[in-house]
Amino acid sequence: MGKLMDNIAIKRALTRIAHEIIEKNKGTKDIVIVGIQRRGDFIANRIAKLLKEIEGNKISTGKLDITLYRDDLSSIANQPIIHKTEIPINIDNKVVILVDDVLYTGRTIRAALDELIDFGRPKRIQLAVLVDRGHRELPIKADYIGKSIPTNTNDIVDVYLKEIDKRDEVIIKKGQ
Amino acid sequence: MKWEKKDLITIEELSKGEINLILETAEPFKEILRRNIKKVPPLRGRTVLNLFYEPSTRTATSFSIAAKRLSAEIMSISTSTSSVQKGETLLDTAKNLEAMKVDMVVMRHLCEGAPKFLAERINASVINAGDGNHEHPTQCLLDLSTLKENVKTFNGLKVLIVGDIRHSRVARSNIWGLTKLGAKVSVCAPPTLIPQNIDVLPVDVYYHFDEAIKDKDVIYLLRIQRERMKKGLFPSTREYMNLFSMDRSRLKEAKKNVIIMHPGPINRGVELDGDVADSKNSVILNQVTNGVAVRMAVLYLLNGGNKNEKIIE
Amino acid sequence: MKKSLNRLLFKNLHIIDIENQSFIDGDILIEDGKISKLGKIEDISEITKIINCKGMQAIPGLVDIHTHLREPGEEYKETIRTASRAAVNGGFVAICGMANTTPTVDTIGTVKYILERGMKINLAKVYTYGAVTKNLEGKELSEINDLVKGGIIGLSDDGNTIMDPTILLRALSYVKMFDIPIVLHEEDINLSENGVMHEGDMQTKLGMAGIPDLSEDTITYRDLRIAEYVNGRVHITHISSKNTLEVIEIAKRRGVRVTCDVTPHHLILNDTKIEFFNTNYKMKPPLRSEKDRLSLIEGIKTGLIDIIATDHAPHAIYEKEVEFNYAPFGVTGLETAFPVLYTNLVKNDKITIFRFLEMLNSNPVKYFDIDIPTDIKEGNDATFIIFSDDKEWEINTDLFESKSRNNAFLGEKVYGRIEYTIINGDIKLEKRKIDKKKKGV
Repeated sequence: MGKLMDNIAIKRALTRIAHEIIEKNKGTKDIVIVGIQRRGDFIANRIAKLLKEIEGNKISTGKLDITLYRDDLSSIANQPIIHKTEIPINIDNKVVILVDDVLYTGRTIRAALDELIDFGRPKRIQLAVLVDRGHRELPIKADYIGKSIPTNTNDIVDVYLKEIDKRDEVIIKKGQ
Repeated sequence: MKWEKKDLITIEELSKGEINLILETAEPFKEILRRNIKKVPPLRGRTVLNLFYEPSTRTATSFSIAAKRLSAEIMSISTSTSSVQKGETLLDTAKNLEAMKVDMVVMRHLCEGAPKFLAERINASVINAGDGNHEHPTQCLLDLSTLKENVKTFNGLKVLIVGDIRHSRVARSNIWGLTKLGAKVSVCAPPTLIPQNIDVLPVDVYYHFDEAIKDKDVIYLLRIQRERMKKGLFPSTREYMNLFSMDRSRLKEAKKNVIIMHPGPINRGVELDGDVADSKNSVILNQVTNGVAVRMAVLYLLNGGNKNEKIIE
Repeated sequence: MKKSLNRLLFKNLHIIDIENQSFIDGDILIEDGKISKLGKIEDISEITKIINCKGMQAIPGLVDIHTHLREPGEEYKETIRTASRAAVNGGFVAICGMANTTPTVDTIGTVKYILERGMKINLAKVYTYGAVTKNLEGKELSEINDLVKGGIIGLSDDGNTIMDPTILLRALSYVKMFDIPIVLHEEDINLSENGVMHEGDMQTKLGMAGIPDLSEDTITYRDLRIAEYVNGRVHITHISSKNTLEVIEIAKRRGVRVTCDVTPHHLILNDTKIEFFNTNYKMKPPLRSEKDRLSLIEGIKTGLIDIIATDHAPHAIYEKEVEFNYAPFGVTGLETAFPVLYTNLVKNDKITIFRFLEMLNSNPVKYFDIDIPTDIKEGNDATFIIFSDDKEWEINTDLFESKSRNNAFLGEKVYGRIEYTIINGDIKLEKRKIDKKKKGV
């Protein structure tokens, strides 16, 4: 078991991501930050706050629960609980930045993309993740990465956030 | 709390946890119905069959819309068509459905116990959309979901159900559902429309509406069927209306924020005045909207579920 | 009935002695269709067959005064042959078929047909009722003299109730000439309407149309008053409620010539069984409340109830495997009566085996003039049954000889298995032979 990131590392990573977003998009015009439930949502709010501190404008945010778009619903035993989805503004022609805590197989992002498209037609969709642990099963790539970590498929990567876990850290548990 | 049952046949057999699971699952589906694109994919590739031996526009349509919003394929069979008219038994219908590998069946039938009969013989999930006078679970669930939007808690909530209790599946399901969530249910009807052994149900009984109405938080009106008059169950619609109709003057006697509910379709002027049905106390249209969300939740939950208990190979 | 010339020896039995209300241990020697010797039999020369019955008991054969043979007319449900086979399988040496066949037993031709079929098949003794009214319509009396000449043991419109009191009045008066009983199915069809189960707690929860006990006791009272008025003789069949029992008690006290019977299912089951809509619990009269059931048990203990009769009512599988409301009423009973009653009443000492046999053997013989011995004694016809009590077994349809499977006791674990049914010295049932056949021996 090892600590990949402590609270300072997380803060620095998110700050860097915020700057990268501004640089890549030449400002914050038309940006909407959408977090993927549940921890992606907290990270999205932090990034939105950072963007406001840097550029001065309030950034629109939303949250997405991708449960209904999962590709494994028919094979799992019980239907999972569905959390809230809130996309309060029209995303047509906006730059949507999807935010999640860990990027792994890419299936969650695929589901999020399908759901997002049902809400409208963004000009551009970009992806920001706190941790990229490799082992993609679909052709999905993150635009902004907090930390890239090579892992084995039987390792477990856990992200803890102050908002619900009372601390900020990223832990890896090595598998057998 | 996870959903484990293959079918939804009665409210009586559900636990408080299972009822709450359905109500909680219905909430995100209410949000989906407010989106522009009201469709989500979880039941993609699934076949849902509406098997209605009794006519119904609204319940069948509600289930159809719910299924389609979940991306399922939906088909409807009603008794006026084909093989049921030719006298095909329910048993043979069950065998055929099983052979065609239908995934879910929504069934309404005039015989109590018919959905249970079907559920025992096919692997598909069976949802009871009303079996005779026995139960109508999704009606109860959408009623509870609507109440959830309008009250702080079910605990101690005083609900009065008015109408033909004896022959009402809506009353039975709601009595179980409300009681399990902590509400206190009363019924009000002429003695001929109250079952002989009513004390086996957890309700208080009133014969006089004006007395019953005073302290209730929710008044639930049942549809009165004129055919009942023939058998001496009550003398005339006029007499029924004088005693049991929910009109504006009776609304004044009730609590100020009383909630008025009705399963539909309404006999305007008989059990319920148009004024009251359209008043701000009425949540009748919300019931209809929530009906789709609740039915989506039911279809969603039954779609997963423990399909390991195969009945036939 | 033909008499056997064989000499049969049943050894090591626990043999009932009805006269002395006790048992003896010993053997039964049968010659020429009669019991020639009881006790320890040493000389076994010239004996055709010796059967070792260690651990088994011998009692008089059972008599069922209420069976539905379904032949003529509904042979797909049961025939006189299959009913006879079911009878001996269940320890019944005599059965009485009700008149609601197609055509109904309202002419001498049908009476003779049934009796002759029974004799030809030569298993249980087959008797038949005649219809009180033509075609059971309750409007015109049948030609009762003809029916009596044909050999009926009683009259009954069972399946239907005689709703017009005047018709019953005439009938009860008229049959005094012939001294045979009228057996009444008591159900006021206006009160029972389209009910399918007892109007009570379970019915309130399930919402199905109910049959109030009121529909039985009100018409029983009416009919017993009519019987009292003309000093007629009636038998009320398949009573199901406490209230009906009280009406009969009052009538008996007043000297009305009334007897009554109850079915095994009404003694053992109640309306809670219907919770999951299993049509094997659907019959008329319906299973009623536990309170009713307990009063019926009390009734058989006190002697208020005279007879137990099965109301064996076969129906095809496809007829019963439908929605509860659409299924026909009725369950079979010939093959389950003995084990369920023995297990639930005799084995746990609610009644003695002597009382049990009074209700299933001596009272039917007495009140219906059935020619079956009521005791195992030297000189009597060799008609009796032998049962074992040592193993628990489960009631399942594989064991049925009846064509139909609609039985209310499927899956029940019981004691008491009929091993042999002997009628006039002939072995009509040999269970061990059937067991061997099934095992492929």
